[in-house]
Amino acid sequence: MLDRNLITEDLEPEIWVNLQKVLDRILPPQKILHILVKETGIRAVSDSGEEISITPDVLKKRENMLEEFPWADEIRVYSMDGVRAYDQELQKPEIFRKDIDEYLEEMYERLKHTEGISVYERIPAREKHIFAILKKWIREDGCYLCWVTREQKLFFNCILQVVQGRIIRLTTSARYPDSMYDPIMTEKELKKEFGLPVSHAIMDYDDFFHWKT
Amino acid sequence: MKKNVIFTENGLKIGKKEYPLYSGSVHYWRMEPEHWSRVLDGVKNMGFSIVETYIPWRIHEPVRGEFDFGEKNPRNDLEKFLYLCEEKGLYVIVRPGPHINAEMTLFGYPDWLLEREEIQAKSPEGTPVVYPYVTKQFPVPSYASPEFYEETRHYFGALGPILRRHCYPDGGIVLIQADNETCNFFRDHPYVLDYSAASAELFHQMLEEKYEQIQRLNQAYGTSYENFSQVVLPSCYQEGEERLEPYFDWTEYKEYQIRDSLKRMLTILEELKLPIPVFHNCAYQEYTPISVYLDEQLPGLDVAGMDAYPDPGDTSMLKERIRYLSGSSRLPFVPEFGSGSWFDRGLLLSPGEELFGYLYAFANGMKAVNFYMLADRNRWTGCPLRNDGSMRPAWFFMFRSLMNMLKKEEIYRFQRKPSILIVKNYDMGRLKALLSLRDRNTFSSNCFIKGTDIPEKLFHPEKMPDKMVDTHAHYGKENWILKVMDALDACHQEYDITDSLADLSVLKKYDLIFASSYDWMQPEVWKKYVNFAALPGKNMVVGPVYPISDRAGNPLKNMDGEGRIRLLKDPGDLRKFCEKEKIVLPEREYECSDPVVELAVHERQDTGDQILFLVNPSEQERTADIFFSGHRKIRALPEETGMLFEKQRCVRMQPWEIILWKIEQEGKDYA
Repeated sequence: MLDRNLITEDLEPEIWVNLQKVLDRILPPQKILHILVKETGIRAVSDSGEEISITPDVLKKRENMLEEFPWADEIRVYSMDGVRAYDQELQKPEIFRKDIDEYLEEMYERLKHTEGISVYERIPAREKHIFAILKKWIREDGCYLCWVTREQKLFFNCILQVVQGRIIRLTTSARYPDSMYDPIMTEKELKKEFGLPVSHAIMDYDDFFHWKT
Repeated sequence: MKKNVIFTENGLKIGKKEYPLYSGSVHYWRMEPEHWSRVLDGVKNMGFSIVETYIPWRIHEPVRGEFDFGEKNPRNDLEKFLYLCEEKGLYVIVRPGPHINAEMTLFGYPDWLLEREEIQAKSPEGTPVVYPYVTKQFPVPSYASPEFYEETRHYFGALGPILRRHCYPDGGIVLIQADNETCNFFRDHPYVLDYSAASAELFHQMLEEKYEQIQRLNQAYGTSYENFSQVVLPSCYQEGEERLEPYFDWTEYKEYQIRDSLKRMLTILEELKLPIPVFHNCAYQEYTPISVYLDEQLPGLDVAGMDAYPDPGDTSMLKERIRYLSGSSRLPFVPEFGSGSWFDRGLLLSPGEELFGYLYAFANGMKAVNFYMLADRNRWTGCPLRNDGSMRPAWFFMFRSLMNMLKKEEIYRFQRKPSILIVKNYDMGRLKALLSLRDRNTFSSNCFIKGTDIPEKLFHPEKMPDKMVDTHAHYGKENWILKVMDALDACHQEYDITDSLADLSVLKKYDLIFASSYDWMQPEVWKKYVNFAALPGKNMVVGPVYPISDRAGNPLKNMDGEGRIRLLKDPGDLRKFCEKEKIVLPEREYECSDPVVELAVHERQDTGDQILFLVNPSEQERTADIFFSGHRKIRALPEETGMLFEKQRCVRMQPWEIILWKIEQEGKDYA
C-alpha cells in the first residue's frame, strides 16, 4: 500500500502542524498493561513504565483481567520464550520484505497468534494503526483528499495519490496556493494535475472521531 | 596531510581568517536544479556563508558499480551544485555518510547493499535486525562487516575525485563529516545487536586486547575457556548473577564497535586525501555506547558534536546536552539543530519556539551550529525556504535577524567559562544498561508507525545485584547528578557537564567538581579524582557515597583521597554543605532577583566585553532585577543604544523570551 519511494511535498506548516491532533482523534492513544510471567515471578508495567502490583491469582482468571484493571484498554501477557519467538518471527526476511503497512498488520496478527503471548482487548476490532483506516477508505487508484475544518476554518488536510494500489504521494492543498483554503477548488486542481478520480472526505474536527472510512 | 582549514575554539579558520561556524542544510538532489540558485540566494540573504549537504549513496550508486553524478538524472549533479555554491561565494560542508538517514528510504543506503546477508547486523537469535522506518522497514547493517567497508570504500573512491576538486582553497568545501549518528540506528541498548560472525570476531579481539591472556579472563568471568574465540556473547542478563564482568565487557564492546566503525570510516576518508577537517555527529546519547570525549581521541577526528531536536520549550534536554558538549568537546558544535521537522514527527515548531531553542543553546555554550534544514524537501517541512526557493516569511526573517545579530556582535568570539564541572558516572550507565533480561527492539517509529512495543522496564530483573544501582529509570541519568544540577541552578551557578571517561586534563580546566560515586568505582577513575583533589585551589566533591570496591567487588586499595575528596550525601543541602566544608562557590558578577530567570555570562577575552543571556523559561511574564557592583554600560541587543546603569537594571520578560545584553568593558567600573 505505501510505496517505499513515497514523495511528500508541500506540507505547509499551517496545515501540517495539526497532524498529531488529527491522528489522536482518529486513533486515540490506548492504555496497555504488559505482564511478564517468568520463573522468578510476575512483573507488570503500564505503557508509561509504571510498575503495577499484581498477584498470580489474577492470571488464573484471565477472562476477567480487563475487569480487574478497568483503566486498561488492552492487557498482554508474555512469557520470555513467547517474546523471543515473536521478535524472531518479525525479523525474518520473508516478513520484513513486505510493505510497511503489511508489516504492521503482521506485528499485530502475530502478537495474537504466538505461543507464549496472550492479548486481551476491550474492543477487539479496534484499528491499531493509520493504515488499517486508510485501507478501508482507499479502494482504487486516484487521489484521496481528507479535509478537516474546525470552527469553520481549515484545520488540516492531506492528499494521497494512489497508483497501482500504492500510495506514491502525500501532499496538502498548499500544493495549489490559490486554492489552499478551498476543498472544491483543490479537488479541481487535483483532477487537472493528475488526471485521476478524486475521492474526498470533508468533515469537522468534532465529527472526525467517527470517521473510519 | 596539511589542512587549509582548521577548527578553532570559536569556529573555523579558513585560510588565515577565523569564521563562525553557522551553516544550514540544503539537499541538492531533492530539488529541481533550476531552483538551486534561488535557494542558495535565499540562504545567503538570511546571512549564511556556509551551506551543508548530505551526499546520498542510494542516489549516486543505485545499482552496484553504476554511478550517477548527474549523467542520468540532473538532480544528482553534485559537481554542478558545488560549482554554483562557489560562484555564489558559499562555503560547503559535506556529509557523505555512508549512513545519512535524512528520512530517506533505507536511511540513504542502496537497496542492493542491505540485501546482502553478510552486511546485515544480527539479533541474538541470528535474524537480521529490523528498523521500521515509515516508508520501508529495513535490516540494519553491521558495523563489523568487512564487506560493508569494502563497498563503502568503492563508493567513496568514485566520489573522492569530485570532493578533492572542490576542497578549499580550490573550491568551497571546508569540512567533511565521517558517517552520521553512528549508533546502531536507534538500537542503542546492549543486547539488540550485533551477533553476526564478524561482530563476534571483533568482540573477541577486544577481549584479547583487554585481558591479553585467557586465564585472566577466566579469572574475571569464573570460566574455563581455552581461548578468546570460545567466549560466548551475552544476549541478556541472567537474573541473580553477581559476576558482572562478562556483561560489562559486552556493554563496553558496544562502545568499542562504534568507535571501531568510526575509525574505519576515518581511514577511508584519509585515503581520499582531502585537506579539510573531519567531524562527527552523535545523535543524542550522552551515555553508553557513545562518548563525545572518546570519539575526539580517535586519530583523524577533529570534533564530535551532538544533534538537537528540542520540543517547544524543552530547556532540560538542551541545557544538559549543550553543557555536556561544553564540558566534553573541543568545540561545542550541534551539527543538526532542528529547523522545521520530518514529516512524520507530529510536531512543528513556530519561528518563536525555534528561536527560543537556538538562543537557549547559545546561552548554554553552543559555539557552532548547522541548522537542519533551511529549505523544505521530500519528507521535511517548516523551513525558512520552500523547495522552490520561495520564502516562508515568518521563519525567513527570524533567521535573518538572528544571523544579523550573531554576526554583527561577533557572538562566536564570546566564551562562557564556568569554573564548576559536573561529572556523570559512565559506569553507572553501563550497569543500568546491562541489567536487562531482554533488550527488545522498538517496533515503532514516529507518528505513523505505532508498533507492538513493550516497555523496557518489563525486562528489569526482580533482584538487583549486590551493588548500588541508581534508581532513575533512564540509564543516561542519575538522581544525584540531577539534584546537584537543581541545587546549582537554584543559586544561579553555571557549570559544565562531562562524564567519568574524561581525562584529568579536562577536569583541570575547572576549580570545583561534583562527581557521582557509588559503593563501587573503577580504580582509575578514583585515582583521577584523587589527583585532581591534590591540585592547589581545586575542590572535589563526590556523592551520594564513597566507593569501597571496584566493579568486580575487589576492595579499592588506595583510598587516601578520602581526606581531600569531600562527600555530599544530599545535594539538596548544597549551600549548607559548602559552608561547612569551607568550599566557596564562585562569586557571581551578576545576581538575579528572580530564581526562575536564568542568567548566563559570556566574555570576550580580547576586549573584556560581555554578553548576558537572560532567559525566561516559563509561561509567565517575569520581572527581575539584575544586580552588579558599580556601573555598567548596557545595551540590549540588537537595537538598543547603550545606557549607563548603577548597581542594577530591571528587566521585564515575556514568556519564553531570551534577552541579550551587551556590556562593554569601556563603561565598566567596579565600585
